[in-house]
Amino acid sequence: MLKETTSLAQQKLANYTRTGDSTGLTEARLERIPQYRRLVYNVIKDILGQAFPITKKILGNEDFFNLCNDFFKEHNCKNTQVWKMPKELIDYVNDENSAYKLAHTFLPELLLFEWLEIEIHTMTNIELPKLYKIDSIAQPYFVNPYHKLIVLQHPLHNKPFKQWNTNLGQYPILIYRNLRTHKVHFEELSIFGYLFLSELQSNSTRLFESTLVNTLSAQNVAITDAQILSSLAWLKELNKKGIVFSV
Amino acid sequence: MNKIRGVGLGFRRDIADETIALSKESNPILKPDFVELAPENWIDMGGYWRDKLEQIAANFPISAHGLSLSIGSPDELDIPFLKKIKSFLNEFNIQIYSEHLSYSKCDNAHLYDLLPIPFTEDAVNHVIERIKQVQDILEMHLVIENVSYYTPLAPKISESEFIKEIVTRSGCKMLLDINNVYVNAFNHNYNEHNFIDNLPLNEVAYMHIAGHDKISDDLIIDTHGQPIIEPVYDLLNWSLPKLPEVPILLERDFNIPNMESLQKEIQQIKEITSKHWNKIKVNA
Repeated sequence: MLKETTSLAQQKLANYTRTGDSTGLTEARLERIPQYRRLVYNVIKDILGQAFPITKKILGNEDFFNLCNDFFKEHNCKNTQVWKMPKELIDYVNDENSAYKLAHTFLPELLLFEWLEIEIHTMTNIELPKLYKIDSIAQPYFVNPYHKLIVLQHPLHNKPFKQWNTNLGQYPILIYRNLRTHKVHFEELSIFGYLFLSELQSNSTRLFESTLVNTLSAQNVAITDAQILSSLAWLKELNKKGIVFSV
Repeated sequence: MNKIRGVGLGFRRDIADETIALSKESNPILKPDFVELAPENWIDMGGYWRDKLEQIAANFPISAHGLSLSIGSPDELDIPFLKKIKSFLNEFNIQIYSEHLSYSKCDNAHLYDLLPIPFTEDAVNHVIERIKQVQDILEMHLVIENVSYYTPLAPKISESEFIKEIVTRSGCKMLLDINNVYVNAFNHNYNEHNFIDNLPLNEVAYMHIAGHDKISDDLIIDTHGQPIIEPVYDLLNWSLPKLPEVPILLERDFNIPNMESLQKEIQQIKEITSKHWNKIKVNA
């Protein structure tokens, strides 16, 4: 059992590294403790800077490092694996009281967009079924499992920063990892494409026709032969890109 | 691929391909005998880096050196995390798992750096209890490293007494980091030879050696960002006759030079160990 004096000394040093407040930290060499604060923040700034290079560039070094400082001071980092820690910055900025979110409305989306590239690149491997080229609508389909579907409100994937706030809309995007090269790619989708792929993942049959019916009926659109043909052609393109397969 | 001996090299992403390629190095004195990695950097990792992990595991024995156990923390041990570590060690047949005698989590927040535990009797008892808990879960010895530190924190006993009590009473093994001894002796103005003589040397199961940065007349930071300096090699040379034959790891985490430079350091460590342990053949 730790004595209160021992655990208190540990808490004060830990708190100092986060906040810079050395009040009550008497049983340490005070001229040396800034080294710990410097070392801790070097790790935090390095990891967050590597995870969010676009955010850092847009905010500028000073604002980005202020964000890092406030995050580490105010947020209790939960992750034992430091490379997963950047995800916690998204939660911090998404807090409804976050001054950063109020000042930069695009920030939660930009952080998520940058984080997903890391998340998909590092997603734990899973065993895959044998995958085939799509040449028929009769076989069940399989979506590359290393992906995320998101809908951005800011066009941060295809427009310069200055146009983000003036071009608010719905921008569906698929972010996925190539099964062979492991490289992460971004695919702009139509609303139909986004809904179709979402439906394909959740549809237990994973068959083309039922997925198409469900997708279109959700949009109150009737199926036509032309739609079937164009959807199939689109799926074959996704197949070539390593996004959807036959199984 | 599981027996750890000789001189190893830290497996870092910056030099992953070059390290994997060393498996084809024909001169044994220029080749690491094993690699060490931080399990936290590889657990759950898929895709490209998982491929690299599998490649290194297929070519070298691996030891694991943890970062986030926080054995000296006032907070509870993270049991789910420990179970993940255990599963990782089992998956890659890793026989050595070492950690730092420090704390890196407090008040339910990870700090991602190593803070000094107060050198007190109650902290000794606290750490012993936790090491036993860890060893029960992992079903193997924990190997505990003497860490570098820049300030003592509310000390009541000496650093060597603190380490000796913990190692001998917990039944764990010790990782003797030669560079950390040098750094601490300089920073806290004590004699490094006396310090080593006061450690439980029979329990040393693993060693580290590294470079550091001297940032002022009275302070060295343990950066692992420079080549090993001669006084640290000298301290290794002085220590080895007192120690059982154990694996030695060259740590280099920052400012990583080309592989030839690292191989020269490996060679120099092997030449020193061969003088005392007479196991590694050095080409004349």
